[in-house]
Amino acid sequence: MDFAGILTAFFASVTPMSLGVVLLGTFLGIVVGALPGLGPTIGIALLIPISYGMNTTNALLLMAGIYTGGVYGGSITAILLGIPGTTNSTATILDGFPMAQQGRSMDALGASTMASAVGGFIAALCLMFFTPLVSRIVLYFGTAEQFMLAIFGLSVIAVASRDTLLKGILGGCFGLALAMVGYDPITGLDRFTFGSIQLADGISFMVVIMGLFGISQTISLAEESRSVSKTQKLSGSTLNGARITLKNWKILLKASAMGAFFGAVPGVEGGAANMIAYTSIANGEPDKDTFGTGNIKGVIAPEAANNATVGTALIPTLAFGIPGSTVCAVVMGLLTMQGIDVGPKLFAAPPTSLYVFFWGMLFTNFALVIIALPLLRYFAKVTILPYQILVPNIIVLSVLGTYSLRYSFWDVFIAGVFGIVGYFLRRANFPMVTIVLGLVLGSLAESNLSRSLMINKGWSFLYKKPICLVLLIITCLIIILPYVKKDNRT
Amino acid sequence: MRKTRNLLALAAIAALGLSACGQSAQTATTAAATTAAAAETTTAAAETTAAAAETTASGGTDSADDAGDYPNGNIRIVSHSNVGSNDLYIRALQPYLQQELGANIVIENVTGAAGRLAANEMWTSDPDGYNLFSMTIPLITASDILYDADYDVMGFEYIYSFDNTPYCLVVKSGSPYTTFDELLEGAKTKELTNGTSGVGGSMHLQSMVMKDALGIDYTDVPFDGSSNAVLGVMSGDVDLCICPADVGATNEGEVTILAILGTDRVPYLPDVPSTHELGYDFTTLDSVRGIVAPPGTPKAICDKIAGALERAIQYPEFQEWLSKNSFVLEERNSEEYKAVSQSIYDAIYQLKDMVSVE
Amino acid sequence: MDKIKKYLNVEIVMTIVLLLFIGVMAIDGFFVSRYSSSAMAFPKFVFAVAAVSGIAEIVRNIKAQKARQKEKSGESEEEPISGVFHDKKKFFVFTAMIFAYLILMLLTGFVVSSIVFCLAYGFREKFPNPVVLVITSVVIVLLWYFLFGSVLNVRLPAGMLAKIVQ
Repeated sequence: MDFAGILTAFFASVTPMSLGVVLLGTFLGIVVGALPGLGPTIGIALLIPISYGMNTTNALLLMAGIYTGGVYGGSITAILLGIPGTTNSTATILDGFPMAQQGRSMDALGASTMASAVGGFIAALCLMFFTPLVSRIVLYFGTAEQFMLAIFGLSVIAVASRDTLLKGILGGCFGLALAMVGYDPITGLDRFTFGSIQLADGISFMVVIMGLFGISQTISLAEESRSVSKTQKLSGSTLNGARITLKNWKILLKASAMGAFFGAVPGVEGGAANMIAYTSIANGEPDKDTFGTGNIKGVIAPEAANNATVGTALIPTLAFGIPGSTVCAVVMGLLTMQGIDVGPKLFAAPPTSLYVFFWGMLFTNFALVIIALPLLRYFAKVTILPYQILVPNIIVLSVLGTYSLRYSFWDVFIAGVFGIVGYFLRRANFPMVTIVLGLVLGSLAESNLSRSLMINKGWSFLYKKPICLVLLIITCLIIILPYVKKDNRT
Repeated sequence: MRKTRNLLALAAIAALGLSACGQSAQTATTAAATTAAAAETTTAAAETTAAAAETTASGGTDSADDAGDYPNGNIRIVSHSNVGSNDLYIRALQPYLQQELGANIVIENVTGAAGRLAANEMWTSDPDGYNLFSMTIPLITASDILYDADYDVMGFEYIYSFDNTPYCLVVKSGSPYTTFDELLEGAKTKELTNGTSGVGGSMHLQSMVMKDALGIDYTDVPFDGSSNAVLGVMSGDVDLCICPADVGATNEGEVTILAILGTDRVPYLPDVPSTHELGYDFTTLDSVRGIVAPPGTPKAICDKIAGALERAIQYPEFQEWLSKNSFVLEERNSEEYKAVSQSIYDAIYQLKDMVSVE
Repeated sequence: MDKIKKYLNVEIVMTIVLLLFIGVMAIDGFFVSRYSSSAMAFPKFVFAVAAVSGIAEIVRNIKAQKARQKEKSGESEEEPISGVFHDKKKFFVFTAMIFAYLILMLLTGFVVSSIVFCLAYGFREKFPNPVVLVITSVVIVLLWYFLFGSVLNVRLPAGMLAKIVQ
């Protein structure tokens, strides 16, 4: 443990200038994350050319802020408008948007802020102190283990949809089917594309979410000729939301742990982690039936999880030079340009600037709370804007966000179609969560299964590899236990 | 009425904020590349403010007569990957290129379908010099030959290439194979596995060439991208991996690099022999990175860009970045670039039937 | 026919819709494009599970409807499909407006189509103050245009018409 380096970096990062930079970065990140279709990737990518002129400390602190703020920012539009700013905030919509509809958007925003800050802080601690240790663990999760993780994630579908189990499974299959469309690196084939090159790129997760959630919910608003908040009033406050979050510290810890885990391990990304955290935590709560109708815990869990993935996702990036996601790749690019050579050699001789970056990752969580809690109450007013103005603008924003993903009008059209489909699916009591889970975990499950079968020449990995075996048992337990409990009660 | 007043206030603030934002955005763009490239709309107001930003940004000293007043606006460079060296490279070069060309450069990522989406789009983009393609072969070459692509990789205007990254063979540190020869022996007796970046990808093609030439066999296991393939080696899923040399160098310690595929050693891995040295000769499909333009782009403009690239690369800060990141500069002008692309094309074409991609 | 219609509620309709979608993919995979069996291994599994759960759901649903009708001694019918909507007219109008907006965007680009869309919706929904409506529509759309287009460098749809005019 290089305490000298850590201390030196600390003093470099607590100067007023540095703290100001952290605040600025976090703020910029929040803005970029809130705008649908963007996210920390673009924020950092834009930062790269500007950062040439800056000194290293500032560039790194700025980036830390943008990254954290970016992942968090998505929750703002998720709660207020029902559109996820980033894929990380998909699950936040499930309870956040209903809360906004009940006029409780400030509580929701406060909760998501505090949850994100705590989750991010915990992960940043892991990053600073445990990277070498965690990186070893990462190597234990090879392709077979990643397959089991994907299966575990999918099994949550069965849990999530208890009463509507059959619909849930069908929904999950639908999601899996959507995931199968497109270019498949395992076989090199373009599957189910009907000859269209647009489809060869697959159906983007974000596009589907925009449609299924954002656009379909806006159609409902238009139908009912009302703005987001049904009561036309705002109740609660951001501080209240933050307070409630801290009261639920057990959920915070559970969700942060899950997020940190999924962030570090290759395969399951932030987009899936928040959904898995949401459903598994929801299932463990006594008031689980109220999830989806505006239970604040449904905001706390995914937000803690998604910001927890931020810190630990950088561990394989730093330790191996292998970025787990696009954001990590861009971060890695900027780190390299600032003289931090990632890879196994990094921790043999860590430069002070690395620790400056780590401190930045810690501080930005405080910045989140400082910036968001006071400002968000103004943003909450969006939910009581007159619907004639709000409704079309939500659509405009959704279109913008969808288009900026891949500069594809085709994507926008697909989002529109999913908007209509989502509307009917909701009326038909299909649990949307399962569709999303299937979509996001589908390719992970399939490609890792193919690889594992190829490498092990069969299914032996299920019982030969210890981690796989453990995961298999856990998954079976998750599926079976609810039924066993029911029997015991009768 | 209160509501309407609140709304008006909001709108006024938004308008103020917008104009302020607009101003600071314009000044920011003169210092860094951030203006929109092709947002032509019928809104006159938007057009004039955008044009104002452009004129302050352009103004190169070099005026190649046939190129006219090029560049006179924002230049868009499309990058077909958004992770890894391919994208990083052009982003690192961008500020220096901007200075040399005297125009804003916007890098746009068009990812997907193994580079085909980007290549298809570049194929039909306007050949006016404001649309450029940061291309890595053999990836784009392979996608052209193996799939039903709309573009012809040899039909682009080859401007300049600056990088040549050979592949190397790595195994996990601690693996029983400590030399290339030992690995070949192992392949003959055991069933080994090799991680590739995907079926039909460059790593896979190189692997097939090598297997064929050396008369060995092992299973190619496709991963999703080169990073994951190397991770596969490190976690013990696969026995070896044929990956770009810079990736191998980054992970030295976790992996051992047994050989560089090709004739020469690389400066950042001085102790690693080349396959040629070891006595094995076979076609190697090195990764070549460069800039091409849509077919029909005027030669004068291409030459001007090539000149700017050549000078941009010489900037000491960029040179430093190159050496830190294990990149070796290898410059090829237009003809040389096209020639090497053709040889790679021919090599892959011969492999076409070996790779079955429907 | 009537007997089937009696049980056709929105849940069953959507189940069938999903099954159809998956079915089309299955037809493509097995008969049209004929992917190799390794490429179809996982899809086969998904199609099978989907088929089973979909059919089981339809059966369950019909059974549940029958049980409910028995309780109510057969008097009230199931919610007809139109009962799905809160306001059928508004649904179709709004959906049509969205697609009209998208087509308009293809032709005239982002700014014009978005402003038109906001104005059209606002006026149709009788927003009390037309001046405010116009100001906010224009200002907000321009705000997005600058924020995404200029500051963040996102290329916005320019409109085919604009290109033809040039």
